[in-house]
Amino acid sequence: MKSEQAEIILRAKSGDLEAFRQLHGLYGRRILNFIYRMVESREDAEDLSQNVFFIAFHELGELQEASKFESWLYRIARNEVYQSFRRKRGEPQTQDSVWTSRDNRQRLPEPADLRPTPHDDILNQELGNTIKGVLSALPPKQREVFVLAVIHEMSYAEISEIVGRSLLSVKTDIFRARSQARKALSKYLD
Amino acid sequence: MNNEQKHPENLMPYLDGQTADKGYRAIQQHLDSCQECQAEIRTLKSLDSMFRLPEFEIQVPPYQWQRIRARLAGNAVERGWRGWLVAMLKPSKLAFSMTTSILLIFGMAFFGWEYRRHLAEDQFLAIAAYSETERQRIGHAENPFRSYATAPSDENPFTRFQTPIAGNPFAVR
Repeated sequence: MKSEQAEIILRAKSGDLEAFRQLHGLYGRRILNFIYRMVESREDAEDLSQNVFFIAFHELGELQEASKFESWLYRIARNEVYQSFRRKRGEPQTQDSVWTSRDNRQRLPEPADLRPTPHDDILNQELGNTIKGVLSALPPKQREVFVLAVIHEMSYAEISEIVGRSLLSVKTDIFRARSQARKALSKYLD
Repeated sequence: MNNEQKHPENLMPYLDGQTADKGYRAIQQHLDSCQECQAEIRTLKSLDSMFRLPEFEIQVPPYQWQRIRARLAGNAVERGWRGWLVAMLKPSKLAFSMTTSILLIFGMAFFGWEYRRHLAEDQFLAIAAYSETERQRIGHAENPFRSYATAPSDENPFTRFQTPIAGNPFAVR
């Protein structure tokens, strides 16, 4: 972590709102997109992302090392995501629940939120929806490590710290999720 | 067994840059000569790139920071004594703290007054007791016979006050 960022974090820790605004500018998009990939709803992602920064500001005083800020922020985001799952009574439909059904074994599950974002108009709608569907089909525990490793390009050690699981478990889940994604997107890869 | 025959079990950690130096070099050497693994790496890379397309990302709405700031302003923003002061000066907290302070002042005044009243009572009783003792002592001093009159004794109480005058045995001073 750059010393500038560490300084911003220290200033934010002392209650400097301007420094915290800078942190929001630095990490806001990453956190929002991580949540979006998990909850699959833009509105929910925006609300949860707001909560994350609100909580972070109040609990920043408890952060011991400025270098761990990013993983700490992701942990808060992850907690918010799982709380929202619990609030919605149960986890989102997982790959197991859909794909183990004999009738649906070969069918890609529908994503929870297919409303197009402005960028979807430019891109291939089908691919976009398929990607959303692939993520939606993954169990949350696989999805979170997959999103962090593949989309956010985080190291396995960082992911392990964020999700609070062993390195081996993280590695295994990334492997499974990638294999599943590969299977689902095979027609685009050939 | 040459490099081409020995395919790495899992190329994903290599792709994610999570392979140790030694393993990384071994895989690189293998990839130089193995077309099959090269194709596998290409497939995995294109799979990852699909998920990384910036077009699938959503942007932070411009109002988000304003909303966060508004929420933070609705709560205690400042930390330390200034934050405490700001929090205490809020109408709800101010009303509570003023009521508490007034009750505290009244309570202290009442208990102080009660304490002083008890103290005055104690002083009055002490003075009264002292006065009574003194009065009794003085009374005894003024009437030296009193104690003798009350105290039974075989001795003639008048003896010590009778000073025999020489020549007149009946004269009493």
